Amino acid sequence: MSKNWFGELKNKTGITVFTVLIYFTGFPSILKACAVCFSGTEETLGAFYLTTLILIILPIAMIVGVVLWLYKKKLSSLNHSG
Amino acid sequence: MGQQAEAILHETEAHDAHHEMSFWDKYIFSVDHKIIGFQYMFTGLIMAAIGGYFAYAFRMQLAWPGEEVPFYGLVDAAKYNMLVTNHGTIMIFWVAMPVLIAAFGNWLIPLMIGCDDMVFPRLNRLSYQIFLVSALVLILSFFVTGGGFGGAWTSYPPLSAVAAYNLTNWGASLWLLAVFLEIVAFLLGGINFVTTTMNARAPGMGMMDIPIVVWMINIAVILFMASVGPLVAGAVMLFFDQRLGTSFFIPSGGGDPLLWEHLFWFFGHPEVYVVLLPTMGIVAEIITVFSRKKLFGYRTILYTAFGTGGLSFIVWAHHQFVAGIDPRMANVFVVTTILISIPIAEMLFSFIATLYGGSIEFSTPMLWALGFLVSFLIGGVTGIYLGASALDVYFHDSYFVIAHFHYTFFPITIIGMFAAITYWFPKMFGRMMDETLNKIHFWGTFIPFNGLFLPLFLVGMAGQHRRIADFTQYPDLASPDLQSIRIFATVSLVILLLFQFVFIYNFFNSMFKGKKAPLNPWKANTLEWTVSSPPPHGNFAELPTIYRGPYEYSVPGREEDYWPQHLAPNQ
Amino acid sequence: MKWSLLQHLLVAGEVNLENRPKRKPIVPSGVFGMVIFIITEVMFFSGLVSAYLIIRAGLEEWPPWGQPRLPIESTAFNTLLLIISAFAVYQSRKFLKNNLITKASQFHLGAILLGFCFLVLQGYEWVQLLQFGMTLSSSVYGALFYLIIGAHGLHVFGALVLMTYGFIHFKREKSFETISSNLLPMQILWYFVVGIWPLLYTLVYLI
Ligand code: HEM
Ligand SMILES: [Cu+2]
Repeated sequence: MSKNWFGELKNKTGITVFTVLIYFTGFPSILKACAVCFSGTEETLGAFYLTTLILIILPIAMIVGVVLWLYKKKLSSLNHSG
Repeated sequence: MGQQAEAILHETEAHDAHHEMSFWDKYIFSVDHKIIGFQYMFTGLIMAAIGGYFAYAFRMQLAWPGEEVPFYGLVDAAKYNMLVTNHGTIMIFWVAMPVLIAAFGNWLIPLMIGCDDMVFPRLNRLSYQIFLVSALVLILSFFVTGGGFGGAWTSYPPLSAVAAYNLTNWGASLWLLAVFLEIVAFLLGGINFVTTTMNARAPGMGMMDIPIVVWMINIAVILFMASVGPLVAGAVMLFFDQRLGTSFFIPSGGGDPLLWEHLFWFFGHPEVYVVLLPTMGIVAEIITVFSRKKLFGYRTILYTAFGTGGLSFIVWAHHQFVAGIDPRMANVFVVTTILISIPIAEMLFSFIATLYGGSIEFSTPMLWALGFLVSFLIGGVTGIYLGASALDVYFHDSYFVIAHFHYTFFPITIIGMFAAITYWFPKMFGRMMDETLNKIHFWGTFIPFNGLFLPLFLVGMAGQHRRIADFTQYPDLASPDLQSIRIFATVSLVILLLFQFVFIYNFFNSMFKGKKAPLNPWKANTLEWTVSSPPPHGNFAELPTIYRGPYEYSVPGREEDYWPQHLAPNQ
Repeated sequence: MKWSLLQHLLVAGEVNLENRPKRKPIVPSGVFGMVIFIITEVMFFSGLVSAYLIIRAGLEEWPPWGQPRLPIESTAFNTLLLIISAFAVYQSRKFLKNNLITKASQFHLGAILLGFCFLVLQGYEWVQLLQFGMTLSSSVYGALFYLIIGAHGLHVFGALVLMTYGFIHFKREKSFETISSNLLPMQILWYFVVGIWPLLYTLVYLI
């Protein structure tokens, strides 16, 4: 790890962000107090997590994939024409 | 589904040249992208009038509950629900999307990237025809027995799924069918836009020479295409629940009502960026032209748009903070929601930096663009409060949310639309609009708009819940102070609506009798200003070649302060 | 209103479009449009899959009491048919590359027939399930089954119609390159329809 001030600062920011994220995401499970969640089972919660993940990853992955594919095609077509 | 693909195959073959055409071929069944753009635009404007009329009816009811509304009649609770539901649906699906994306996308993309027409012209025509049918189905739904659907534009089940609850047996199904058709129409249009931009650019136009507005419309379309699938799935399931006796969303039959929210908002949040980005593009064009300066940070704006697009897929659950999702999940979405305001803010900063030090000309399009920046800022900033789930527990479903999204949607849809129309009018119709009337219209819209929605933040903070037809029934909300705020907002709305007649008059008067417009009245760089106005079929007499980016204004050492994209370097 | 007034209002005149230089896009428009369309389709199916996972997680008994099991074996055979048809399409493209048009058209036709068999067997299966009392409204189990499998079936049908229509490309006198590029978009659709089936089969029948 570099010792210059910029490197250290970056590192500190990273740790802070990480801690805050953990803090935010870990703690509030005790606040589960609304009317609807009483009936929700652990499995349903798990299914919601899983599908949330699927729905987040799929579109981004597909768009990035298509862009990379186009980029590769473009590069190879440039190589062909010289 | 098959038909779409079939149409794609067809269009790969070249279409034949146009000859003397009848009125029908020329204006109704045309495959010309400009005519289709106009069709979308005029349909969208008519729908906007209907949406505005609905708003007038229910705001009058809120200000003077129980009294007969002039030009409408009595608004009872059921009618009130029907009015707000369809107002929201119309403004989002039948005004914002067709005007901002379909109309200007159709009209501008081929002209700005320098090609003859869309890549799939017949697909394009089919897209408008389906859209028209969808609008007619929606209008039909107001007149069936039981009346139009009244379960809010978000259409949460079980209310929306069971006819015995919503009391609009056919209204609900027709509403759903209309939304479905509208989505199909935009899928066809969207495929066209992206493919055209990808494959039909004028020679020499690299990725970084594409005008921002074309980029933005394309990013918006891609966001739409990638997010709409789950909503279509949900809509089909809801339709089954309504008509075929299934219970996907009905807890008593083993279904899960939260599932609908999951699927709906997965589309719903990207959707707000779908309508936001085109207007951002329109504003970028206008601001550079009227400050005679190079756009500040072309690439930055582009990358922030990509960032917004990516992030918009991971924020949707902020609409469900109080709906019963796992609070741990809610917190992840708090973080992403607040993150997404960063790229948006950065985009706005780029626009402000473009203005800084420019020689600004306050023409009407510029006024609209500046008005957009100011008011959208308020909308974005209040979104950050809502994004914090702890605050949202109080604010959710209150008039604070209403004020928030109207400070985003009104600038985007209405202000953005007027900015674009006043800016491109000379090219669209070959005549200039009347500046004085235009300015009257601008101030007559902008001031009442703030008078209408600023007070709603106040009543929202006072605890006023949305979707209630008559607040005087609730002792805490019936106080004269709150009622006078409501009346103030309603009066503002009526003034706002009245000023639209100035625009309508000006629009048609200028169209037929306005001053003839020069080829390039604003001295802009982009390609659409090089063709005659209105542009002929096939657009460019000679295919242009591109030598530079679209924002070379006030280049040192040049006589003129603009440098059109198609001029060779020595010209 | 007089037409003459409108004549030059929205669009003035026209431009001669002959002698335009031909563009050479990196990806042909038909293919590109189809790829975008398929992105939407993938999201549509992932919406259905999400619904399946969430509703199923909320129920204790799966399948619910009194509902029939799904015919795993016969559908496995059906799956095989579909996969073979994708290979047939692949072969057909290979033959086209080598300029063997008759062979290519035979394999194309074979793929269509296999797809058709898949649909017929599915239909037979549905009839039996209906006789066992599994309907759209009998339970969410049945509803989800008919929804997901039906959505896929509709896609198979649409793609088959397209492929059948595409068959005429073999009959017209054209270079094999044009045939190949004209057929490519619908073949991509066919690959998609075949490719998504094993996932749905695993999800709905096996687990
Ligand atoms: C810039 C960052 C933004 C943030 C952080 C944000 C945040 C939020 C949050 C948390 C809610 C849910 C409030 C509730 O229901 O309790 C909300 C509602 C809403 N927002 Fe935003 N928003 C932003 C931008 C936008 C934009 C650009 C638009 C429109 C183009 C928009 C349109 C809406 C709409 C329509 C609703 C209400 C939906 C309904 O329940 O009917 N927002 N916003
Ligand atoms: Cu949102």
